[in-house]
Amino acid sequence: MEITHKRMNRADLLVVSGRLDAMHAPALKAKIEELFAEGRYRIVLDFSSLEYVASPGLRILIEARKKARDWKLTDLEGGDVRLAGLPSRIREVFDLTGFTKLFDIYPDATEAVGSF
Amino acid sequence: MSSGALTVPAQLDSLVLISEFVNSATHHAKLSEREAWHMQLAVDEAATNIIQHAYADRTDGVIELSWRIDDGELVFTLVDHGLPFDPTQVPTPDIHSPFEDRQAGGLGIYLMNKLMDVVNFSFGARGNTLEMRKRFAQPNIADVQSFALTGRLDARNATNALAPVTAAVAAGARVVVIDLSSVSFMSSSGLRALLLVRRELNEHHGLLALCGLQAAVEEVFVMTGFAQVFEIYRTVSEATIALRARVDA
Repeated sequence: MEITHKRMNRADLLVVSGRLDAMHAPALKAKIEELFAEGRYRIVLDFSSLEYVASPGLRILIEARKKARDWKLTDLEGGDVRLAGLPSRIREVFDLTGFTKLFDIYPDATEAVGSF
Repeated sequence: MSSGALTVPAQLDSLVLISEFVNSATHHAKLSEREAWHMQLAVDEAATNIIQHAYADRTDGVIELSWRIDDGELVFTLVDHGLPFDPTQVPTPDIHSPFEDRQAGGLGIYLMNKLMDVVNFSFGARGNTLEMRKRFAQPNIADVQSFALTGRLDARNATNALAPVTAAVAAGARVVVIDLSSVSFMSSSGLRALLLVRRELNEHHGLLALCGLQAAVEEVFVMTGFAQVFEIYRTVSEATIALRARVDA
């Protein structure tokens, strides 16, 4: 798994590629927590190059979004973890596990960043 | 080869080796790309469970993986010697609960059950045994392959004449039509060679039909009772339509 980080005005974009399995999920969790520690709670995960996701990867997505949403700028605006560019296999895992409804998912990273 | 085995240390960096092992199994079983990937995910979830839960804090454990093909199913078995695992103690995630209430646990076993046809946990003297079965579509079942034979099907050339059919069945052909319209003579050796093809196809749950029997050949089939053993049609297209209908049923 590789993570590329791009800092934008509206949000931080993490492009995650390769395998998001039990072996690699902790690295993504650490990267997201690093952003939280800097006060960056608006995060887009670009999964368009993700080849594989297993339950340990899904688990950290829920935990990350819960923490991000705990941060509130106003009643209406706050933090979030939003997703972009799910390949069909990843989408199938999201559909099977009910994750499609748990996250705001955008066709590509530009739209996801623009949604903040 | 229709089985395989691998023993790996119960550590997360074994997951890549396990993935390659699953890959070789799904390749041998000729699973579709999607079925193969379901198998990958289910075995990966199972191995992750063993590493993180059955062996919890231990680093000296091993996972024994094996696969076999059993009557149209790819069967994966994972054995570990860690803590007894009781799947009923793992809460089933409510995949319809709203985000605020959504729990992050239990997804691994949930996915295994969703992706496989049968998931079976047992605990005994050897440790935990997990068996997962995935039914897969038989290769080429929808493709009817027809073969036109010519000349005399006798002791001298029956085996040769049927060689292309035998080769195709060995390569995975499962629905076969043999066109006998250009066969002028059929001896008992010819009948025996056809019977061997039929037996081979039966063993693989395949189908065989014959068609276009000339009058002299048909007489041999009727006299020997073979007309009742084989499915016989007038033309290749009639035979193809009949077999395809049975495959679809």
